[in-house]
Amino acid sequence: MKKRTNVKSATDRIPMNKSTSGARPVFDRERVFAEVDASNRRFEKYTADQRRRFAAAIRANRLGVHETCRVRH
Amino acid sequence: MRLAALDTKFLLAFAGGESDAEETFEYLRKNGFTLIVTESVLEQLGELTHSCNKTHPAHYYAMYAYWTLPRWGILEPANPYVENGTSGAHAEKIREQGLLPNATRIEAEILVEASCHRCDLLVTFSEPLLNALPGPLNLALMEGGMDAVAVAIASPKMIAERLGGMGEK
Repeated sequence: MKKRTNVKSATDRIPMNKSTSGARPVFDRERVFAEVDASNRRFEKYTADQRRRFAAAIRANRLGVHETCRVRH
Repeated sequence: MRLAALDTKFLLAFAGGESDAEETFEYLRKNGFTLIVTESVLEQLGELTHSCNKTHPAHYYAMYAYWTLPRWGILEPANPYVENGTSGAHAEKIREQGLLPNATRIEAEILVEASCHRCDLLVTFSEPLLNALPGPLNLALMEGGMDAVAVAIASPKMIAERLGGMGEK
């Protein structure tokens, strides 16, 4: 698919912070979407409690990173 | 305020700088939509970071997308019907009625949650959602007694075709 030249990509617009500045994996759509499909199937079996824990973990991760940056700043 | 919900694949594609996702994002912004993600999408981003190998691009882009939602101006609103499980039960009912052939539980839930948030639009790459008959599906969405509304379901490809059509005029 043709890339637009007048719009910067989302990843270009956002400067990487230190924790994400390592090698960025190439966005392989087929692989990523296949993994989401696999995740969709896994969600058939998760309990509400397990699902809440996934959301809580990723929220805590972002809060933790922001708090670390704030303290460093 | 007009709301549009984004699904997991769309968020990951946008985080990966895919041109169709970026064009869709610009289209939604230009047309005055406020963008949101629902609780099931957040749960799935968390699940991908938990279940995928750390070297897998889905792990990286799930984490990256979640970290950068605020910078993209994408909201993560709470909804009582999602929190108390009513929307999940309604999604299962809609699936049992055969209104979403081949859809997984989470795909149905994302749609019902978007409806509970009173979104006008759900942007998705999900074929089962895109192929569902909109009339009966929207009636079923509104029958749940959750202030839910009819939701237009569109793919980035549909939006690109709209953009192409507008460009020719």
